[in-house]
Amino acid sequence: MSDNGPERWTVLINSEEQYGLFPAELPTPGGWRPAGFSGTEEECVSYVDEHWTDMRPLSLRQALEDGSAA
Amino acid sequence: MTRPASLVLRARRPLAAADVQARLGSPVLWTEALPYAAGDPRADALRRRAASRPFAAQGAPVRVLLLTYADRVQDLVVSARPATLDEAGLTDVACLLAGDGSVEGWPQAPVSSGGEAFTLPLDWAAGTLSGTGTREVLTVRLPEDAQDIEAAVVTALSVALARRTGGALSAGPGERTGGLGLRLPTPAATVERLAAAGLRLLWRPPAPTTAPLAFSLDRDSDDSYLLSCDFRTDLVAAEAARALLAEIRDRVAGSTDEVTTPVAAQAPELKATIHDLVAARAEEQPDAVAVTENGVELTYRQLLDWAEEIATRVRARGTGPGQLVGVSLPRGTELIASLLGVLMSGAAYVPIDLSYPEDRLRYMTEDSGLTLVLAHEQRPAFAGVPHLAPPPLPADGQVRRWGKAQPAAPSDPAYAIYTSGSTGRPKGVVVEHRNFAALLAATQDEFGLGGSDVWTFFHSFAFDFSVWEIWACLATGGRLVVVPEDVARVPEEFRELLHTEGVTVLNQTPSAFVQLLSTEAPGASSLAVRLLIFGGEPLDSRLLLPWFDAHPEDRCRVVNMYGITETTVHCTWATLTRRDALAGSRSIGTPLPGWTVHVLDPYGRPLPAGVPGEIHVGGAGVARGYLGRPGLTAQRFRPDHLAGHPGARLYRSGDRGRLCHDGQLEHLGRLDGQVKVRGYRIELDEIRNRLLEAAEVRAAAVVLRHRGASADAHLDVYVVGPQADPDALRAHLERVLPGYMMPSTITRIEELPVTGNGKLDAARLPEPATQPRLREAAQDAAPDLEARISRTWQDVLGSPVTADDNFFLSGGNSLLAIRVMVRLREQGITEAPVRVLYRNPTVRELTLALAETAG
Repeated sequence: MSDNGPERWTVLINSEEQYGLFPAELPTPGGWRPAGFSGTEEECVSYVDEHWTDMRPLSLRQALEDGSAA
Repeated sequence: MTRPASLVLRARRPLAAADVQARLGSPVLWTEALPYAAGDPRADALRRRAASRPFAAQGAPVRVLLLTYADRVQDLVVSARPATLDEAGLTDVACLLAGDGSVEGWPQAPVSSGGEAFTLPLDWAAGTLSGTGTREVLTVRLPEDAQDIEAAVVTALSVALARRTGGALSAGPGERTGGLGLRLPTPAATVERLAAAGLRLLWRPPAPTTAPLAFSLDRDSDDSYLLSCDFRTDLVAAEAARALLAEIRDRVAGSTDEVTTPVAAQAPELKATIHDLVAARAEEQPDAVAVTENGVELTYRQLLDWAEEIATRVRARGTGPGQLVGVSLPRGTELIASLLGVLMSGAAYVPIDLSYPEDRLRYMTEDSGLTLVLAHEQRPAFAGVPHLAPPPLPADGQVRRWGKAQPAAPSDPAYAIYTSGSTGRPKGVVVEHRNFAALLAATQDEFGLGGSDVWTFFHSFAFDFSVWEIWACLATGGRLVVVPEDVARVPEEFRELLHTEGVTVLNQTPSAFVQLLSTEAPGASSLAVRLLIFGGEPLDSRLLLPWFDAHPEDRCRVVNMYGITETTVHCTWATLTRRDALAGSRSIGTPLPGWTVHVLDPYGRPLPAGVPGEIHVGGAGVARGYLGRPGLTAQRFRPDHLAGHPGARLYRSGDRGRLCHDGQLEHLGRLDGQVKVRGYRIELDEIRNRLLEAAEVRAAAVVLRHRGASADAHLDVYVVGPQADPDALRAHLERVLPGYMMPSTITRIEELPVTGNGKLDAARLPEPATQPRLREAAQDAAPDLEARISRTWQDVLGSPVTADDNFFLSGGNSLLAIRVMVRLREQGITEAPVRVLYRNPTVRELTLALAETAG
């Protein structure tokens, strides 16, 4: 068992559409779901760089849309 | 170590002393008749003492004691010298003495000692050590319904020890002792033999050993299991042993309460934006002074009027919530009004320090996607982003509605502060209004912050410590005193300011505090400071002793706060007392209400108390993330699998720490190459990567060094490359790095020394070279003066300087500058303040400046 930590990581996403890396072997914490990619830490970072385009929390984006629609 | 091996046995049939003596042979049988019953506590104490009594240096190999109690019950205590008889041998002796004919002759085989020696690292066991070298025994009772207890204990013990020592995490259940120093219960066969001889095993003391820790599993008289830990009190703290036993018991019972850190109580929810909070104070006390600068006062009404005016102009440029506005203004009331104005416009501010080099300013401007910069003049570094000069303070008496036009939400960003990045480029941390609101809610009541407090704005507004200084003050109705930069640099003048303004809340980095401490003397002007808060870098609590001498604990509360920009300035707090300072406590305390802190291993598992790991922070202070860096954000802000609400995130700090047995946290340094210099966060790799950009640099190393007190922290750079020129490289760095990141020295070497693992061996780096540029010193009005000044500089800097070497580029810093001026004063050369050295930073210039004033 190496000291450097897990070798395999999963990309998770929460309800605010924020992304986070998590060790692949551990159970998914509450409020998160798999985003559909696993790999090395670097691969996961690249995946997130490509897919997480708007870093604002979803609830905030929705409130803004509602606000501007009203 | 002469603790014997012993057995305490209860006789089931009467034993006649004469018979026992006859079977014993030559050693004398000791007998005692007791006036109390076998069940009396005195009997229990007596048996234990008798079984544990060490042997004399010379004498019989065994010692036997026959006890007869008042109720006619009898006990036999059989002891052998250590390493002469094992448990089986003692059993043989006991059976023989009880008249068991099956035993033939006296047992002979000596037992080999040292079988249970095991070497374990014991740093996890440190705590309150009693230091006397005696042994203590702690015992827990194991749950009765546990299955196959012996195997369960072996497994639980190896897991619990492995968690503390970083070893392999499981021992197979088939292993009996696994070399763990675990003594198993007396085997059934032995129990039967004793029964046949009319004896019952009552108790056995811990086996003789010199090991720091040893364990024993025993059956109690009611057949339940007892697990004992026998340990040396000078190597193992009682609370560590206790925690270990409790964990093993819980594991055997099948319930492990993973120890996480103390999760502080929830703070009351405060859903507000920063400007709403400040505006609320302005409504309550419009004529109270909000900001003071060089004697000029701004009331809350004036501050809000001004900020609203600025906000209107900012909004007119199309800026709103979620957008970023750069602020690049000198320290003063206008800066505060501008920051507040940006917030009131709904946008977030990005502090842009005017002293940064163009390259860095341009990078920050582009990287953050600023839509506007508040500044007095356009600069090429702003890369074409429109700038807006803040309007002046509007005249009094105009009725205004403050900040209602385009309100930001609490989850909108409030500011983005850039921190050093290890890849070579800084990165912006985006913090939301609600993060700050949580910080205020967590601290306001405990600190009793309010309208009668006076705070200093001392730190750069590009450093998040200033966020606390400015907004915690104004959001609680206090008065903020702007500390001009040249006053901040001179401790005597800073103290004078603290005295004159009656400052009550003082925030300092330990480096700055060292300088303030130098002004403590009998007759020094009094201070009204009631709350002294440390942040920004680790604190050596011994520094506080002279402070406590002058400022008693009941008048001034001293709080050490650990924090990270990514979790909104502060994270944990520890109120320090004189006792803590005497003990050199390294505690950073407990989490703020609403924050959670965990010490985890690389797999995200909580570590038990005493074991170092990486500090992770969760809760209300976790910021939104890194500006424009989603991948890095996802990597550092991870899903919270421990204490958070669903969907919560945990920030990996990169700081090493551990949870102590008393529930407090200790900070143990970094896991990587990030350092704090005078409170500034610096990634050594950022500097290194900028050096490697130069083609002539083949390899580079950046090392943090200290000369004496922490205020003397500085960076030394080493480069490899035949064409590498330290002067040219310095110029290159000056173009891209802010002043606080500039190294003191740059030295060219042939190659970087490495350890056996191929890592940099910093200990083998040579002494840094100073940067002499040889020039003829011109004759000036006072050649003798120049020589004396030069000699003083060389004494203080510890290296030669020429007349044109810049003090601060020759290894000098603000503390050494003060030292130079003190020495010049001692020599009767000048009484000038250190400001003069700053303005004339070469020997030649300083000589001329001093000669002018003297002549």
